Amino acid sequence: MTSIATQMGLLLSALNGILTPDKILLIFAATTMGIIVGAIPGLTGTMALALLINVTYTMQLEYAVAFLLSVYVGAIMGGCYSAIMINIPGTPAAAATALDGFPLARQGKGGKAITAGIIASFLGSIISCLILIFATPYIYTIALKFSQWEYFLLAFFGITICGSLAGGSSPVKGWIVGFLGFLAAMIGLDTIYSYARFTFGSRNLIAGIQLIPALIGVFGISEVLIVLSERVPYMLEQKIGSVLPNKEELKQITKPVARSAIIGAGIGAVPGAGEDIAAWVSYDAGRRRSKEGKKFGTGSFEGLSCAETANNACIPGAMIPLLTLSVPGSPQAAMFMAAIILHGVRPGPMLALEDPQFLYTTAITLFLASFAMLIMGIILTRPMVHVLKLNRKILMPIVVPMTVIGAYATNVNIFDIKVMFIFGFLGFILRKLDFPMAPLVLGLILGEMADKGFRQALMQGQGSIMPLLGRPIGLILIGVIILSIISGMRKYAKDKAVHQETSTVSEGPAHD
Amino acid sequence: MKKAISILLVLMLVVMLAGCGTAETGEETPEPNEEASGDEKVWPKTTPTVTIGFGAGGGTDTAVRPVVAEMEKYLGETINVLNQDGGASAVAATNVLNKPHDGYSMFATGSGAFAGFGVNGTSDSTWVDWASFHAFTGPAAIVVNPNGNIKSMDDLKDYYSKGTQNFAIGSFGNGPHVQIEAILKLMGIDSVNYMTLGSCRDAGIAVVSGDAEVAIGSFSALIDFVNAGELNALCVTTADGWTLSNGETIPSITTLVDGAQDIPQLCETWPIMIPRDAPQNIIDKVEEAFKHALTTDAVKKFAEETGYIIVGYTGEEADKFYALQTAAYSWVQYDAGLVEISPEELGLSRLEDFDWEVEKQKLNK
Amino acid sequence: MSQQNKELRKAVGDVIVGIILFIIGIYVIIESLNMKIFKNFSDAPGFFPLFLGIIIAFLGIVLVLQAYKIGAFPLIKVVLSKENLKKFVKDDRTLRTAVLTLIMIIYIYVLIGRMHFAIATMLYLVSTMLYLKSANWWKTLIISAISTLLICVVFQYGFRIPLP
Repeated sequence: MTSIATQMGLLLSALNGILTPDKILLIFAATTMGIIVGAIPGLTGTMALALLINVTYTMQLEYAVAFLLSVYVGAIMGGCYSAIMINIPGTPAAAATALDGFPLARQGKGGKAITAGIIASFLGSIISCLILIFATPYIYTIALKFSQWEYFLLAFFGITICGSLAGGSSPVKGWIVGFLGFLAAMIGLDTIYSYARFTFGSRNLIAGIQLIPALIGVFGISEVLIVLSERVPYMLEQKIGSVLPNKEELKQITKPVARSAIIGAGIGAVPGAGEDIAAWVSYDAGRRRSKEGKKFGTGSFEGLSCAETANNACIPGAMIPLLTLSVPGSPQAAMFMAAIILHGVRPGPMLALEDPQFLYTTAITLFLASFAMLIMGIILTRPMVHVLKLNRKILMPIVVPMTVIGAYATNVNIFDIKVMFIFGFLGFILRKLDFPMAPLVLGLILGEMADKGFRQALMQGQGSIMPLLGRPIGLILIGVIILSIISGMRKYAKDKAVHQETSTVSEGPAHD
Repeated sequence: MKKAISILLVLMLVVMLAGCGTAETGEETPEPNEEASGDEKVWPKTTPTVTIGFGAGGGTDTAVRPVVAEMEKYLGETINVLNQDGGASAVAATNVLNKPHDGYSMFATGSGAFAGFGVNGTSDSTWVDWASFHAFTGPAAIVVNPNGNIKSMDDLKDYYSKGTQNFAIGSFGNGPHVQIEAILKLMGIDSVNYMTLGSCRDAGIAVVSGDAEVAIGSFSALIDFVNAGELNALCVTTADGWTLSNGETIPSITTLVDGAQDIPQLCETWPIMIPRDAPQNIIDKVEEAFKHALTTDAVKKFAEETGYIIVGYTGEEADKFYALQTAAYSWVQYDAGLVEISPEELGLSRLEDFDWEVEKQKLNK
Repeated sequence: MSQQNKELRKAVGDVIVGIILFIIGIYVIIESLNMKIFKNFSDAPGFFPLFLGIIIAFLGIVLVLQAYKIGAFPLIKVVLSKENLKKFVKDDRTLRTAVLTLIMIIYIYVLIGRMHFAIATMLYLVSTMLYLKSANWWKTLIISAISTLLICVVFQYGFRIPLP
């Protein structure tokens, strides 16, 4: 009892500390900044935090926390604007958003789709904040048990998703692209022995293929080429209409929220898996669970909501291992951690003793930032839609220099721009042949995790897989993987049967 | 046809302008900054940049940024900090060296990673190319689970003499790994099964969660687990022991293992580096600011909390330290079969034969 | 009919991609078997790529077989015939893609790094938009200039990102 009372006391004093006009103003400003950075293709939350971390040195701790978390929250959400309106995700986390968001925009519901994304992000953050406040001690023990073997299984689970991300074409194409992404992730020094793999003697390739340039390439450059190669590029309808979703749409948005938020928070709590993975897993789960799973990928508010809820729900989730184990759940979280360390907060097992209020400060700040995101996001929707609806023949060329800067900025390396272009061109050809691009990103993200996880797990087992099989969380993950494969195969068989019946009136792919 | 001609014209124009462009940038003289006209600035032309060879938020990043922040304050000028991950910082080193050596481009890395460039074949750059400033040294610590059977270095020896057992490390070739290789050699333990966990922090967590009995990692990554009593530290690799906040002292390896007096020199540092042939006045100013930064409360507090020891190597002391580490790290990695290029080919002598007076001659070449 | 034809044509593309994948897979297998083994094969750098190579080669075969099953093989000759290739080359979409790609290549591989980013970007935008006839020439110039300026100023001073 007393402990609950003390916790409440801490919560209240944290509230007192944050609810001052200047801090709230700062949260609003920083969230807006994050949204804008996130909306620009190639500029990610990580980059925004890396650039702004210098600014926070001179700030007081609470201000720095408010500032950085708000940028983080804003940036993850901001990625949905460009994903929906021009089919180029502003951040990796928004790649899953584009699958349904862009078809919606082409149906003339771009504004609504964005608002839907914002509402979903907001709900995801809020639910996940509550999880952060109340479930941290429990999740801490689970996160502690997450070792190399579990990472490998998580990555393997990602592969099984690739097939179902193939959209209209066959799952084989999804897997092919996913494994090509895996292969691309193998390029460079291997993470265990620093052995150069597939570098062809190039010193630039030693650093490996960076995720951001590859992502911008396959989504950005290839989209530009696809759109501009048409004689008359598509136009989005002229009048915007109401950007707020109606009751029916709202229902679709809120339906998957609880599940997606829990998936997002859970994946966020896994150290090393970030917002992007959360969005994919949640999207895939939604597609399997929903009665209208077939509509996913053709402009489903539900699908959009699955992805957007999860990626924002990931942020509070990522705070759990960060604050309790001092292991950040994503690169953005790593930046945040670096910043608070510089302010003298040492996250880790001692935090609960040294600075017990900090957990609440973080949670409340995230809460407020979510509100700021909701309000600013909706205010910004109209102008954003106006800008992003410009004549494609003008907008698309302008996107190219931005992608160039985006590819360059993470590592200030001209080589990355070249990588981006090559991925873009290959992506263009593969997309023309009906290969989905989403699994490539998944493969790139998970490739290193799978490779490292599996080999390191075997090192732990001294070359044998047997000691690993009894691990409890591993067992759960293996169960999930088997379920996912079985349900995927069933679905595929069912779809095929349906497809054969209707093949006389076969429909073309929705896009490309 | 008309269209084709117009495209051709456009393309020609583009190529021509490309030619002009290169010429233009060659002549370009940046205007002197007006604000600087009064008192002299160290970097009057543009903002200088420190390129950190590892990702944002990583160990090197966290160790370098606070020092740079204090240097900025002292000089009253902005210093950009960039992260350029890749090839254990070799990519960043190459890029900085390829830029003009005008004192505007600096580099920061971990000394262990830098020392391994040669044998890993990732870069030809050695300490000879750089003037370096080492703020902290970070000891490593051998940690065990407090509920386990291992309570001392003797227990450790027993544990590993009973067949091949796991030893958790962050990654091969990092500072703690190099140190434990040397320590195990001294202790006569020759068969351990390393399990790499990706980072020192993760190696520590593997011990907390019971996946491994023993780990070595940089002390800064483990200190709070030790403070919280979730890990038990058997020793630290500095010459002196470390006193915890609760008053307990972790002994130094030098008092526990015979012949371990060289081990402390293998502790890693996170130096800020400038090409050696950059303008001397800039190097001097940076050194001055660097030395000042180490006296500030912010940096002192940071070092204390993170388990670093302020050393402040500059000039010849820094060169000697770096040369010694290069030799030691290269040989350990080579002996462990991790690299194929022999340190011998690179003209590096073994730690036992290391002679600074001989090594120094490399500067004259 | 044309829809089905299109499907079949794509299947021909799949055959080619399948063959390429098979070759890549074989190459990866060979390369990974040549990688150094440090201690055990199970933690060697080549361990994972070996599996990837096998899987990719296998998926390549599957792709070819799938195309065979829906009857794409007889079409290979038609698709790769001289007339068809001629048609492909003459198609205005092909031309447009080629020219746009070429301008991009010049921008990325030739211009960037050799001149100020703003000049390179301006050149790229003007030439692309002129080619696409996005607007008349003076509008093109104005739009390009404004967007170049905006991009450079916002990124360099707003976000403090170094430009290439």
